[in-house]
Amino acid sequence: MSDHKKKLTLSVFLLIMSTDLMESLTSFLMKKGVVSTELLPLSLGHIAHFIVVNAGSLLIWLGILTYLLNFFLWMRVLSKLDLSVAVPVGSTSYVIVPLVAHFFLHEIVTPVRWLGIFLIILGIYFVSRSKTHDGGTEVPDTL
Amino acid sequence: MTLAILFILFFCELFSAASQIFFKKVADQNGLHHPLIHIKDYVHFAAGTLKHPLAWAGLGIMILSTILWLMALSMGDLSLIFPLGSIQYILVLVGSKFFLSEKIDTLRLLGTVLIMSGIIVITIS
Repeated sequence: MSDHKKKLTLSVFLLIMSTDLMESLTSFLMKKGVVSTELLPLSLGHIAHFIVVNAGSLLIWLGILTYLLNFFLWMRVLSKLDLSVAVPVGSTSYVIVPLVAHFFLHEIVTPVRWLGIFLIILGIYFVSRSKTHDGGTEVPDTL
Repeated sequence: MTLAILFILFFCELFSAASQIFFKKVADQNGLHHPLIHIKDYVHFAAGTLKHPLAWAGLGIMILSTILWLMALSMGDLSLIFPLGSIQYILVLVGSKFFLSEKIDTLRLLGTVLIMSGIIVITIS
């Protein structure tokens, strides 16, 4: 049992980033695709109506598809890492989305938000450097 | 009213953290560590995941959590709900320690707190 077997390698980090990106894509598809939001007050009738009306939306089905694909990607991440590493590191979308908005959509990122982005990057670095003492099964460094 | 939102939000994040712990148990117990090279490895991996009852339990709890999240969003101030939602990081950390026996060292705790602070700063602003 080598000590580095559950280290956050570059390939696993890229896998986590792709789950974060696909999560954003799912949210986008769902948001664009939702036809009716009449869910409240929460009752069986409202839920049934909500499902029937939105089931006609192609974008919603695309969203469900990306959600399911992402579920398996995430399961792959979890088979490689501690949960208490995977979840914090899986907050890269809070960094990527503002950066994309800044450099490609020329949106303004306020100084306070730059501070937030910096804190998250530093936090991800710390978590990725933390020790793992694990007695579990050997995890090869391949995706 | 505000108390109701906090209540809903807490259970939303609790369910979300619980589903992650279920998923992690599936990933650990199911021998999902083999390298994925051919298409059939991927199919095998997906099938192995879906064969596990805890995966379905996790998905069910995740759906509940999503419904609670949508309820919270529709009820309250977003600049309050998004920062408060980051309580999930603490719940996952505690759950990982007690239900998955993961060792949380100072660096991991500090890093997680930094990430939470960053998210609170971004979502509050």
